[in-house]
Amino acid sequence: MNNQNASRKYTLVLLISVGLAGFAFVLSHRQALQDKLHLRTTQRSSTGAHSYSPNIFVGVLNSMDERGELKNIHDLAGHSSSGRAVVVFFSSVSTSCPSGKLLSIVKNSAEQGQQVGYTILLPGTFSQSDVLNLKTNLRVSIPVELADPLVTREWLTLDQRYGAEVVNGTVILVDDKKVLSVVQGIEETTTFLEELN
Amino acid sequence: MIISNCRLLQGVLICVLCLSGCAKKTATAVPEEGSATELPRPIDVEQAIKDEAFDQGTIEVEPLLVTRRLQSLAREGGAFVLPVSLAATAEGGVYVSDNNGKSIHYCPPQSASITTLLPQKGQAPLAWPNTIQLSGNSIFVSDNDGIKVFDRQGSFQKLVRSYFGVNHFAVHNDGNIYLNPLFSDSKSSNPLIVKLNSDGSLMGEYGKRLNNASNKGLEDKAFVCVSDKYIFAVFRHRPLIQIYDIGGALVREVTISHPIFLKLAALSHDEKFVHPQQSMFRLPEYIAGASLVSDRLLVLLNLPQPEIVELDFDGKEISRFRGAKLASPTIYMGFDARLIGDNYHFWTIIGDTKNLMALLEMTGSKR
Repeated sequence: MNNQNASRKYTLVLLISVGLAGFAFVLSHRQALQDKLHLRTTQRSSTGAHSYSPNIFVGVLNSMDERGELKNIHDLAGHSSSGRAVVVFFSSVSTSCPSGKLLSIVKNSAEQGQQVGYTILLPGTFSQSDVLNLKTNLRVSIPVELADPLVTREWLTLDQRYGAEVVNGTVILVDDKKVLSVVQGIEETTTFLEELN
Repeated sequence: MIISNCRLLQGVLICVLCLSGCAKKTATAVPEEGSATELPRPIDVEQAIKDEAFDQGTIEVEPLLVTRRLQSLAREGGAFVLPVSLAATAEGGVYVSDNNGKSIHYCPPQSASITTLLPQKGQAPLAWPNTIQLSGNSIFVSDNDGIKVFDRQGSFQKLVRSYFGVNHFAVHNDGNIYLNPLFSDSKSSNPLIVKLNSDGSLMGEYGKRLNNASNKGLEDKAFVCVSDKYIFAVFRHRPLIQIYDIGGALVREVTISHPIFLKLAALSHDEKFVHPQQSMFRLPEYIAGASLVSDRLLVLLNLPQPEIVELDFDGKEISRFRGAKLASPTIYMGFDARLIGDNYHFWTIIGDTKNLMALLEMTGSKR
């Protein structure tokens, strides 16, 4: 009986030790993993109800990928010579807003980076006239596409849950049919695109 | 998103607007990016210009009579939350866009009643509406999504996505939209006015901007009016009107004069006025609105008393209307004019020191 108790105690201590070591490992590598994937800390939505971070976007895209629902996105990468594509998700663009500035940055980067395919993605709820207006009015020469219904559904769900203002302008890099990076905001996107080119 | 809170501050109506994202607001002062601003009428203007100066003008004026004052505040159970723009029908009914109320109100002619037109469920909700215009049987309202078109009963018809930030716009009878855009950058290629077709596609560009980066383009903010032959850019922060022909050529420039404008011009060079806080800059506001009636351009000056200049299309001043001084200081939000019978009717929304917003209707005899 005493031996059994001693054995149980030993097992318990061992499990706790392994658990703590694992937790410490995750903690110590968390930042490195985030940096590697270009993920950043969470943002508070305007309502404060839910916090948002680009890794939520990654999670949604990966889940869709597992279900085979990202064909639309992968096709975009397939059109570039390198098989890599930068896709920018815009649910709104305005010349008076940061989104307008972000679009200019993406346009400039696309002019310099010939090896990577660039695409602006608008929600499927937009019309072909909206696509044409973006290309004509803001002189966008890179492809502008409407998201398919599946991507649109997940995208607008994120908009609704976290606020369109924090999701708008998300930039992803697709390589070899995998979503490699997700970045947001003017500074982060500028750095990301400079490194990419 | 706008978090707007109008409050009394040192006896002045100040609307504190926290801007985040792309919220649109009529602004006389512009914050550095990402910071808050105080709107709309700077008290310093009142302090810098003496009241008596308004009586020293040598220009002959016609009297302006107030015929309707409609005060209907939401906090008192009324309709208006923050009305910012208006457009009048030929009969004298007035449609008002309510920025914080996210709605359109209709005030019938010669009536004290107000009907609020809220989009039906499933239709496009208004996202911080701003400039409102009427054309044919449609109501055009700019908001954060673009320009939304409703019928006169408030049923949504369509959304025009042009991707231009909208300061002010006018709709021509042919359906084309002439728009004074807002830009976050100061590129020399940015036009003063863009012409869009009814679907929002760019058809032409008019005029040049000053592109003064130090004031974030305030000097390029203009009210737009359009006739069959001309496009008018009436500048808010310059006492200037530019008249373009329909082909886009600048035909003439007209300077609006008032004795007090010299003092306002001096304020532009006063560092304390222009930069009242580290993160804010502003410019004096000369003009509060413009409207076309037949072959006349009516311009509302931004003065403590309502003062409206009537010009022909050659830029010649025909007459000037002046009303009694309002509670000081006064802000004007929106302006429109119509000729009903032999009289001009003018509408504007005023705010006063008691933080009251009211629709004001005035009349003046046409010569």
